[in-house]
Amino acid sequence: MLTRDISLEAAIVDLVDNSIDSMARTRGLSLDESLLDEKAMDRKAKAFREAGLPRIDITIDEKHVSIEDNCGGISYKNAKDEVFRFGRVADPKRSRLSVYGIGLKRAVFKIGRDITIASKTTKDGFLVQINVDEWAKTDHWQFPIEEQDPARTDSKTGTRIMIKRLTDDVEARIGDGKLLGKLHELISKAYTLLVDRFVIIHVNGARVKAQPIPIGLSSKVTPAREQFDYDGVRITMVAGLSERSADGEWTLDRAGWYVLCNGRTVIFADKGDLTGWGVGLPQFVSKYRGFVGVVFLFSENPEALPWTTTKRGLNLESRVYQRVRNRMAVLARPVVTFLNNMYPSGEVEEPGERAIAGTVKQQDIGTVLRKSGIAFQISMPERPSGPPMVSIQYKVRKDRLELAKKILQKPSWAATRVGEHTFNYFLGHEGPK
Amino acid sequence: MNAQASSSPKVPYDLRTAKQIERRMIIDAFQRMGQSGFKIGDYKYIGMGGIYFVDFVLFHRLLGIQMMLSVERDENIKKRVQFNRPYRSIELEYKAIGDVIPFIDQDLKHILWLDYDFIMSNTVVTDAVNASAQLSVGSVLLITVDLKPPPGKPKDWKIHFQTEALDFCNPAWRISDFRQSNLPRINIDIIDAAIRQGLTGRPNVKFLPLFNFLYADGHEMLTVGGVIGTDAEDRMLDGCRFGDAPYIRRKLSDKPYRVPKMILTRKERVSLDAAMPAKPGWHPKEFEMDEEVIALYKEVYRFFPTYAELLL
Repeated sequence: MLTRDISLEAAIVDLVDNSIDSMARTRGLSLDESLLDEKAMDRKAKAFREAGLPRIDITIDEKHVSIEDNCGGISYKNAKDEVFRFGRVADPKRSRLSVYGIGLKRAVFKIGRDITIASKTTKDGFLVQINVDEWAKTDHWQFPIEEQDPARTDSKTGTRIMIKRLTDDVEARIGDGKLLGKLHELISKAYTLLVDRFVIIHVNGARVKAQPIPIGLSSKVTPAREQFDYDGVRITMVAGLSERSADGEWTLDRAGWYVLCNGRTVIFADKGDLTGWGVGLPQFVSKYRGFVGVVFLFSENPEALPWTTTKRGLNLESRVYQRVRNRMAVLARPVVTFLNNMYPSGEVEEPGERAIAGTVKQQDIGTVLRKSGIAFQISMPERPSGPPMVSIQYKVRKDRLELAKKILQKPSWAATRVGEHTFNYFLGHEGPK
Repeated sequence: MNAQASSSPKVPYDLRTAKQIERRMIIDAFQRMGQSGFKIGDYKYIGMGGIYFVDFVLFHRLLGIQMMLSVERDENIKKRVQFNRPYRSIELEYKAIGDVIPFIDQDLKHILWLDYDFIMSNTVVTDAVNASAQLSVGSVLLITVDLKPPPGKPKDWKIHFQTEALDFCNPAWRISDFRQSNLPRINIDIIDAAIRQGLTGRPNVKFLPLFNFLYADGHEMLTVGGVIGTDAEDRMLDGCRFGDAPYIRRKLSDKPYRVPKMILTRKERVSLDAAMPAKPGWHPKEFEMDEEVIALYKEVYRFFPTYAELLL
C-alpha cells in the first residue's frame, strides 16, 4: 500500500471521512445534492442540534494519534465486508466518501505501527488490533476482526482509532509546529458544508471553525448556475463574486474554483489550468481575485467521481471532468469580463463596476444557488449621458503650483482647479477654433 | 488583447472582393447542406455585422435565416449600428462576442461567426474553446483571424503565439516553424486544438471541418469553419453535393483553399462569363489570358461580386 502518496494531514482527514461516513449513514444525512437544498438543510441542522451534534475528536502528540467519534459506529459486518477488506469492495455504493475503499487502511498504515480500532453500533461492535511488524510477517493479508458487544445506548455508539509507535516521518512532522494549523485549515475546507452545522470537530481540544465558500450576491449581482447529469454524476455549478472585505479589497487566496465531490471539498480556490484558467478562460491574474466558482459533483458511486484517491486532486482524464471543466469556463466567462471591465487598462473614469462589486454580500451556498440565474448578471446603472470622461493625474513642484496661482491671481484655488484651468487654457489657444 | 476596437468605421466591408467571394462560397455550401437535410433557414445567425451587416443581408436573403444577432464591441457607435441595421429582426448586443457565447441557446442550432479582425490572441482561443463547449449539435462554427505576423522577428512571433495560445501551441514548434509562409498552418492548428479542447467530454461530438479559407483584401486572413456534429451530421455532410465545390475542406490537415486574386476588367469578365463553365483548354480569342487564370476563374465566377459606381 503506497503510504508515501499521501501526506499526514490528508491521512488524518481520511480518518475523519470515515467518521463522517458513519454519521451520514446512522444519522440520516445524505451526502447527495440535498446538501444544496437550503430549506431541507436548515430543517436537518435544527434536528441535529436538538439531538446534540455529533463530535469528532482528534488528538495528536509525539507518541500517538487518535480519533474518536460518537457518530454511530461501524457494524461488525460492514467492517468485515467493506472497511477492512483488501481489494475492491463489491458494493461500494454504501459509502459516499470512500474511493476504492483504501482511505482508512492507507491512513492508519501511514501514521503508525501499533493500531487499535474499536467501534460500536447499537447492534454490534468490533475490535481490530494490529501490530504492523508482526502482521507483515504473516502471509494471510487479513485484519484480525473480533466481534464485540453492542453499545447499550445511542450516545455510546461510535468509533475510536488509536495509533501508537508512530513512523519516524510522522513523528518528525508532528514536531514541526505547523501541523495543527494546517490540519485545522484542511478540515475546515474539506467539510465546509458540514462543520459546525452537522458535526463538531476538535483537534487537540481546539474546535475547528467552519470556513464557508466565499461566494455572494446582491440585488445587483446574480451569480450563474448550471446543472446537468453526466455518466452517473449530478453536476451543479455556480460562479460569481465574493464579498469584499471591510477595506474594500478581495482576498486573493480565497479566489478561484472550488470543487466538491459528494459534499467533500477536493479543490480549494484553484487558479490554474486544472480548473480551466488558461484553457477556456484567460490565465488567472490578480484582477480576477473577486472571482469565486463552485462545482458540486454528486454520485452514489464515489468511483464515478473524478477525484484522486487522496481526495486532494482531480483526475483530468475523467470524461466527466473534461466536460465539466469546459462548462465551468463558459459559466465563468461573464464574471471574468465584468472584472476586466472593472480594472481597465486605459484611463477611464472609475467605472460603475466598482460600486456594483461593493454590494455583494456573502451568503450560504444554498441561498446562492437558489437565487442564481442561468448566467451571471449585473444590473449596471445607465452610463451617465454626455461624452466619456477620463482623469488626468500628474505631479508638479509645489512652488511651481504657487507660481501658477500667482500668475492666475487666484491664490485660493485648489490644485485640481488650477490643473483644469491650465488644460482649458491650452486647448483654448492651441485647439481647433 | 482584449480591448479591440471595432474596425467597422475603418474598412468599407462591402467592397472587399476576396471576403465577399468567401461569403458567397460559404453560402453556397450552406445551400448544398440545405438540400441534404440541414434546416439552415431555421438556424440563428450570430455574427459581427459592424455597420454594414453584409453577411446578415446575404444570410437573410439567400438562406432565409430569420433569427439573427449582431454583436458589436464598440459602445461609442451604438446609434450608428442601430441606424444601419438593415432589418428590424436583427437583434443587437454591445459586448465582446466572447461574452455572448455563454448565453447561446443550447436548444437551438446556430451559425456562429467569430469574425475577428486581429491576429491570434488569447481571446480567439478561449472563445473557440467556449463556443465548442456551448454550441448545440448541428451548429456551424466559423472563426476568422488576421494572419499578419506579430511585431518583431520570428523569435518574437513564437513568444507571441505561446503567450496568447498557451497550451494550444504545439510544443514541438521551433523558431524555424514561425515563418510567414507557415503562419496559416500555425493558426489552423491552434484553432483546431482549441475547438477539440472545447469538445472534450461531449459524447460522440466532433468538429466536422468544411472551410479553411485563405484570402487577402489587404493582408492575408484565415477562416476556419465546420459543423459541431456527431456521426449523423458527418453522414449528412457526406450526402451533400460537395464534389464540384472546390473550396470545401473536410480535413483541416489539407492545404487551405486560397481565394484567388483576379485582376480582370469588366469587359473581360463579361466575355469570360459567356464561356462559363469553360471546357478544359478553352481560351478567349479576343485577348490573351493564361489557362491557370481561366481555371481559377471557373472556380470563382459564380461567387465573384461586381462593383460599379452608381451616380445617385
